[in-house]
Amino acid sequence: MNRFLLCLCLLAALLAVTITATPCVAQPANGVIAQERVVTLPQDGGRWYVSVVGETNDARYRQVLSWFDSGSLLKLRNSTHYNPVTSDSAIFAERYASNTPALPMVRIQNAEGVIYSQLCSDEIPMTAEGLSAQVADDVRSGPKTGCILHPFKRFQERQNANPILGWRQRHNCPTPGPKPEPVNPDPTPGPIDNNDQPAIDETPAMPPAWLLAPICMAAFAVGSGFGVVSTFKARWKAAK
Amino acid sequence: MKRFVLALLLLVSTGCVKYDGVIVTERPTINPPAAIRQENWIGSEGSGSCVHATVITLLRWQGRYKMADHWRQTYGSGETADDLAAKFDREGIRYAYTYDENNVAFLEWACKTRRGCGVTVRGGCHMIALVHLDDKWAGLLDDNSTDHYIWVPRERFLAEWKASNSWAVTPIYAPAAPLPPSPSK
Repeated sequence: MNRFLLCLCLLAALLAVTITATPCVAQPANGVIAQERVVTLPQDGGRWYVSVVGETNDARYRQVLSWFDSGSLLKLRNSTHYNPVTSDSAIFAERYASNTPALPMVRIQNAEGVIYSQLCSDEIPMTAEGLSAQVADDVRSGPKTGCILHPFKRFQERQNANPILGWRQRHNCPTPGPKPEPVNPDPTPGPIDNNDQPAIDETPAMPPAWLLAPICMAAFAVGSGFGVVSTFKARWKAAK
Repeated sequence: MKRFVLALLLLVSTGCVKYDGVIVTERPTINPPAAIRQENWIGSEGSGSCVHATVITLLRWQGRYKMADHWRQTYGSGETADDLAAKFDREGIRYAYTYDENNVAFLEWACKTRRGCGVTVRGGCHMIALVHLDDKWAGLLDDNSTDHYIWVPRERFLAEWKASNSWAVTPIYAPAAPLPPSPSK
């Protein structure tokens, strides 16, 4: 009898442990661990927007997209609403086609849609670091609507002024290597946070202004030194 | 005077006068192009798929085209809040929802962040997308007629939503970028 009671107690204790140990999180559904139901809603209504727009199979577009997978541009991507847009999409047709001067394009907008940076085609620097620095400069210098809202005209003017540039842009350079894979239309989502400010690269591309004076003076001193030495050498040779 | 005119001419000729855009908030706040709005369809169980149609439209608006296509291929018919949450979990979709809590703040959050949300109407029998909510008006996109928005007074909409189990749900990804400001005339 005692053993039976002991067994009963142990069973009851085991049941109690099983019930109380059930975690208070979403349960696995069909054997797959549940992701999150976001309970604390992200207050990111003031987040800025980054749009990277281009043709799906354009190698340059794919290169620019890949820059946003690492480094300072990844930080920018994670701190903004990141929108890769292809020119064959309905979003492009209705929301970009009328205000996009050339492809590929990188555009930074604040939450109200005001453009702070817009770089198209050959305006996009050749490296990720260059793009990061350019975007940082553009964001620092404030909104730019005067030039940017008439971008197509500006682009045409530039092409007319430089016919070689226009020729290069109309010609597709052969890209070595295997045919690129199609762009994944669902990019990895950024983390959820409530910080509205875009994480731009704060490293200035140029040395600070106060450094310019000593640099110039040093360059002047070195140049003068070389000048004096070469003059002295020439005179010494002539005297010889 | 001459210098002033010269400076003005230079500014105008460069086309870079600092700011001549007019910020006009897009209305509705969530404005999916017609081509990405998912029409309702009859599911395999013979019922409508309004919840799924709304979710697909919102996924596309938030740039998740691949997932939206997968959802269209995989799911359909009538849906409950719990089952939809389970499906979101299974697919690894980031989402938020409220049910039977009369949580108007959720609707305001969804519209303020430009994501939009699915909301129940008609006593909980139908789901449509809430695409705008301000002090006076609610903008709605019905998956049974996706070619136009429906505008109803805010309080009337809220009353109907509260009488329909007050279910609201949305994926949480990056909404499409706002339109750039139009140049001033």
